[in-house]
Amino acid sequence: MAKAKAFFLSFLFSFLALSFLLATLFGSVYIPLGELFAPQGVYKEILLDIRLPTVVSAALIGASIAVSGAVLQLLLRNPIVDPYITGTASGGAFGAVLAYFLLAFGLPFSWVIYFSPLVAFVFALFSTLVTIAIGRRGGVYGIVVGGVVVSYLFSSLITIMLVLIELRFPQVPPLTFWLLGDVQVVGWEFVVTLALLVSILLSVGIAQARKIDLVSISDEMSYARGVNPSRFRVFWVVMISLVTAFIVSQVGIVGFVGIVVPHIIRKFAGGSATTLVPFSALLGASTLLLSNVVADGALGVKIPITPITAILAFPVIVCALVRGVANQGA
Amino acid sequence: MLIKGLKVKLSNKLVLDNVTVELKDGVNLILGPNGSGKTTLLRAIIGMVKSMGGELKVEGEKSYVPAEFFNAQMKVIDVLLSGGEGRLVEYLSYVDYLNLRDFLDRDFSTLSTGEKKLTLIAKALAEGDLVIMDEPTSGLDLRNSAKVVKVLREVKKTFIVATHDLNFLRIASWAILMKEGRVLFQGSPRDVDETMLTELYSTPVRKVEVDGNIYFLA
Repeated sequence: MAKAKAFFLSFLFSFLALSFLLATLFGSVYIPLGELFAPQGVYKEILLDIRLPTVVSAALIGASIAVSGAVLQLLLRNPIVDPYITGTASGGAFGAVLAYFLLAFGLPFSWVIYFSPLVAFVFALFSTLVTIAIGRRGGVYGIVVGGVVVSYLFSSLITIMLVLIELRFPQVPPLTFWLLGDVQVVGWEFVVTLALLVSILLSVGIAQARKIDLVSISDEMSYARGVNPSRFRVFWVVMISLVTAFIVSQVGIVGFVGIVVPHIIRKFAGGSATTLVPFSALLGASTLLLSNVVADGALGVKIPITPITAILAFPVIVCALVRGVANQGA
Repeated sequence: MLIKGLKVKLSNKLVLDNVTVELKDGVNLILGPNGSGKTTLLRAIIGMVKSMGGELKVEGEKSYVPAEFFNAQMKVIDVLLSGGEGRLVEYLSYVDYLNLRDFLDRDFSTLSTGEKKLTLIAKALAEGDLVIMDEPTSGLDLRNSAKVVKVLREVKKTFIVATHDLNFLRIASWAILMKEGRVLFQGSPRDVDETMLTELYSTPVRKVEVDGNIYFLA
């Protein structure tokens, strides 16, 4: 059994390396393989200032969304949730867009950049807690329905605000494309902060994996072992909202990776957080890297990333709905 | 061990009304109809529901076998190890005792109801000296129920067991009868009689003796 796990792990690592290489070569500009190791001129600039930060960001974003999905699925005892379904991402996006209204108070544009992740976090947390509150009364589907309703509310508010922003501040670049996920990163500032957040998420996730498992099985068993499951859930929801909000405020909403990836890992390596968290990080990174190759112009045109991940996710979610959840009799 | 003056209100209803119970070594049995406050009492002991006043003098490492739990899609071995830093070795004696060795690598969610319950019982036995069980035999077939009874008879730990199975009286060292959030009777299981149980369940209960063993029939 341990052998199969080691084999799967080495497969995931090789897959990640391959995805990383492909994502570095392909994009809106193709960088020839020869230029990769000794880049010169314009290739050097593209590679170091745009391509590499973008690719590293994509990998980190994929990893963190997949890990967030895996942890949420366990703690909320629901195999089809992720930060997108729970409304976390929509709330965060709403906050990020709302921050642009600060322009109305005459604040400089550069302030908005720093302020928007904060506002995004507040609303990401708020929307997630509302979804969970709805889900408490409605069981497995309650949380999904609650998330859809909450997402719908915030998407509507975003649409209204976008229209207003376009009217009042024509100098702000259009945000519609960004909203559906636009992983295009220039420079390393964002990457460093993101890397820090993701490594905290991942290391806490691995350190607390057994505890996450326990809380997923039973609240009574958790209390008996001195773990307050409600407090534990809140801790994780806050942390996931923080990371999701930071991501959303920079690259928009990246959906579905958090559902698909843990689902596949669960099939092949079991659903304990001890494997689900680290393995999901690896596969999540690869999934977003490859999706971003398509999004970043491999088909000759730039496409937002969520439509691509959504198409990838469709069969998996249908499968989970028809078999997984149905079998649990929930 | 002593639990004194517990008062618990849940959504404006007094679920435990000044509950004072003594706990003995061996099997402490909590009997009572649905909604009598058995589960709430167990939850108060682990701190899941807060009591307004009163005190809990409970010693030892607690562990809990819940009546309902999530059908986790993880290996049995991961279910056993969940919540601790413990290694499998610490669980193996109870795993073997309950014949669960072959299940270790199986997916917990694919086990039968009885096998799942026994897994959680093995975990609780390995982790606690004060083992709390909420309806450990509900939904179990005769063979698996007998295994649970065997555990309660043979394992030297303090158990608090809430159940609807009156036959547990034969293996209990202390019986607590609860109705509408109050303690109707507590004492030796030998002193529990037909009249008490009839009052407890508001339905006639008969006591019969077969081969020197006492059985209660509704």
